[in-house]
Amino acid sequence: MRDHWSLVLFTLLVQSAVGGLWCLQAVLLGGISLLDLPLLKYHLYLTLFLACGGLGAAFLHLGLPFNSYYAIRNLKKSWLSREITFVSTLGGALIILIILAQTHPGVLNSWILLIGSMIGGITLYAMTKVYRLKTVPAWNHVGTPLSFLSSTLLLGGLQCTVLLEVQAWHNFGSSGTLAQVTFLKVVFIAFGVAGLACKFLAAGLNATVLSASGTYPARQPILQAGGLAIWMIYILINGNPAWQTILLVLTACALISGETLHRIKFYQSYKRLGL
Amino acid sequence: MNAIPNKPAFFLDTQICTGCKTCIVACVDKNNLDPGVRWRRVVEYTGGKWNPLPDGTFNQNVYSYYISVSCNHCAEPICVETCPTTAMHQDEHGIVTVDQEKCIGCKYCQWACPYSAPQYEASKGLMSKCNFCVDEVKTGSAPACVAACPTRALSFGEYDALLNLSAQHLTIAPLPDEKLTSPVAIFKPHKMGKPVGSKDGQIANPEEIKDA
Repeated sequence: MRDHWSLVLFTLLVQSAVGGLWCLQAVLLGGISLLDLPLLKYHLYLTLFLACGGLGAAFLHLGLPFNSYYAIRNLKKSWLSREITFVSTLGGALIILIILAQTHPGVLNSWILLIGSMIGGITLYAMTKVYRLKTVPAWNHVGTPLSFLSSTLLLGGLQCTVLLEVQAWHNFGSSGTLAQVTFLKVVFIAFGVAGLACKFLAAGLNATVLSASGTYPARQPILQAGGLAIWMIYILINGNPAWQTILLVLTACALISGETLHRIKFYQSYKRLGL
Repeated sequence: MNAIPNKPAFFLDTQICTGCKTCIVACVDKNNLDPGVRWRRVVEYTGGKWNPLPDGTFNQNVYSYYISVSCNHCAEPICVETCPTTAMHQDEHGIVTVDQEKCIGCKYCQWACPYSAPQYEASKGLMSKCNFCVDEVKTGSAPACVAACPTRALSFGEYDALLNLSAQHLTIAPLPDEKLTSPVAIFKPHKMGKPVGSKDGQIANPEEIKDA
């Protein structure tokens, strides 16, 4: 399968955006508001940037990108059409949330954000359905949604932790109490742990399905596990800020490269029935 | 004059197809296709082995047969279902065609089709596929591939009428299970034809049938 680079980027960026939104949802559910931590407002910008970057990468995959507005004409039958629609809707919802966060930061609570999170969830579901083709057994199993969900959780937690680290270097206003920051770090790494658990499950399922169809040996998420281990050290050792940053950079490198390799392998496993 | 049958279909007698590929040449010529774009492909399926016997001689069960295949204009076309733009559509006769004005070249139809029917034309950035040479059919002529077939292995007509040409019309390897898309095409099986999903043989010419 050629031209899969743009799709690797598209899926990973959009899943990161959804994961980031879910992390923010968890934070707001935990009782922290945008007034407590103005940094969270910038998190929405990052999420929008990722979603738009994903859409941009998707255009690169098309033979005629200028006709792309036709892509939402088969909502009745095509999951690809629905996927594009939901990713665009997610972008629109993020813009509204950003406007709200800028103009009325106190109003943006977990209930309002829930709408965005739900659109993110539906987007993720549509993305998995695109690959559940009955003619492509290597993709048409529960390992595909699990794999996508794991990327969403891992990359979502990672980006929020990185943003929190940026706060340490750049003052965005109130940096929150120690209890609040600790709560955020625990929430974000919980996303990472859940993501890795899904990843191992997905890798096991992929191994079963793919070895049965004889395509390629499934790759275990070693890089992601290593990244999560460094991430935990980063959380547990609260020492020199420079070392903290280095640990987080290493975490990001391991997780992002692991996810990218996994996604490339996913596309390479494409093998349809028949000719 | 409109001579399009109600449910048009191709019929292939794999017993007499010699794999000469004249059908491919005729299709490429008629439709002026780019190099590498093949609306029709001929699959060579081969298998068997030579077995040594105690007296030093050999017996064998080697076989090879050819399947000329293009779009089967399926009753449940997965390309139409997956196409996000509705460019891929099916008309009242059951003919599946691409509206190139709407196509965005996402290749999703190509991913899904188990017959590799939709082909990507890189020069135009969009998909194209067999349309039964509908311009020829309207004038009462056969599609180019059928007209060119030197052994008359390939025929064209109304599906129900073509069913009478063969007592057997089982799908054989390496074609996919017809339950996937309900193809409106008839393949008279070769005498050595292997059942769908068989791992007994292999496609001997994968480079010739790969996606454009």
